[in-house]
Amino acid sequence: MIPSCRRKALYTLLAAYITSLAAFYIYNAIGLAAPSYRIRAYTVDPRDLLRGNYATLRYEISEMPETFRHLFSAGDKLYVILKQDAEGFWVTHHISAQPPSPSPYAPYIRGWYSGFDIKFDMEKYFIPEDSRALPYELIAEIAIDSKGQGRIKRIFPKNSHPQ
Amino acid sequence: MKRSQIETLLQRWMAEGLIEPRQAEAILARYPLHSTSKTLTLIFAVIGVGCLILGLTLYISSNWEAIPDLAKLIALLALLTLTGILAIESHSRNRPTYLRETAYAATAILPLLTLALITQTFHIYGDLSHLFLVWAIALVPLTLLSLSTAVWCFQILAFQLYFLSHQFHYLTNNSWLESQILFAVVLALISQLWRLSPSQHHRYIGEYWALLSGFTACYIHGFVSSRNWWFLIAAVALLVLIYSVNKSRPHLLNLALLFLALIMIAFFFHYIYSYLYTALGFMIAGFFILATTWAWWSLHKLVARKSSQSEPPTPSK
Repeated sequence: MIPSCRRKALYTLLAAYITSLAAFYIYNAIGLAAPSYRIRAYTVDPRDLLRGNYATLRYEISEMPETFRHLFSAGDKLYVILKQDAEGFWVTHHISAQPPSPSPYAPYIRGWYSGFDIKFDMEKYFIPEDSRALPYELIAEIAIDSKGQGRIKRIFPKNSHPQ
Repeated sequence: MKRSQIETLLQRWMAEGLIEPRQAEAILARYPLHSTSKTLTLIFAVIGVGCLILGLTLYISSNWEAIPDLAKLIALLALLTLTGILAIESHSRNRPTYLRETAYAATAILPLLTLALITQTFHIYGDLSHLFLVWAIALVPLTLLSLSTAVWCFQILAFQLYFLSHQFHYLTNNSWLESQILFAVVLALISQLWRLSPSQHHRYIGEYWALLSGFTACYIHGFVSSRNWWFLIAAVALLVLIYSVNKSRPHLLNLALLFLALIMIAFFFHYIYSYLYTALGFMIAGFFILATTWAWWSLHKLVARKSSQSEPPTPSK
């Protein structure tokens, strides 16, 4: 037998679990509705023990340009400001330690410097078990919200041109 | 216990003058001759429920890819709600412990599965250790409010997984050992807080887990670096052995003896075995194992005797 107040507290905790998990899902679902940008990407193929098959992605914008390398040390947070190239893909224009002012013409994405390249915490793409392996060269459509958080919207081979 | 066994026992006690015939009759009256076998009913019920769960699990897993992500999320949240209500209600209505603990265990593990599903759905790649850390922190209030043994076990597991996955990413071999020992020491200390709780199981589980983690880390580290770590385990295990006999703690006694035996066998095969004839090697190994078994048996008897002596006598009418 448990006291009534502890029973109420347990129910409150259960409600908090469910609400926060649902909120986490909704937060990410809303994030996908943010403006999206196409970026060149490349794959390698390991496996996550807990979450199944995935492809590890490396983006063109993951590379730290030599001119900015000395400004950051491993673990530093940074903002990559993007610009559109002649083919319509978004590439690195500038890298800043502070969040820039938002602009639809110069969007920015939040990341951190690993000491080797830039990570955006969207380097894993989970693949259904029955699907074919992804090719090496890809195009990643990334939704970037107002805080610079990037989320993978979809991935497709470089030679295909979906709308 | 069967009625026939109880009858034999009661006859012996009456012959020894421990109980009166009237008392024996009163005890026997509690065990009717033609009662329905509860065990058999329970076995069939468990097999039936097991088959249903297995079938449902196989059906869902074979169609997992075809189920929309949102449906998976709703199903997991519904399951979390169901197991949570079952756990709380079975707790508050004093239902059998196995039912309550199973429901609490499911309530503890489902948030991790749901988090893993959401990160998979949105291709969110954080460090895996962050996932375990969020799970571990989320379990703290459940552990404290439910006082469930299963949740406490998952709580320790969550923090251990966090430490292991964090070490895997960031730390070197040496700091891996240090952080495992730190984890073991902190766990052993935190487990002592359960002295404030009416149940002592949590404290025992924490102590056991801490010792197991510390010993295992030192043992593995002994393979890759210096064998001196094995001496350290043997020394600590001996101390634990003495402590557990003095304080009548059988759970620690088992573990200390297990690791002492492991260290003896590891040393034997590492240093001595190659210099002996095969037959002599096996004979000495057999002697070590028999000696440890004998020590385990006699120390257990000693601890059991000490425990029965320290228990207060049952008041008689």
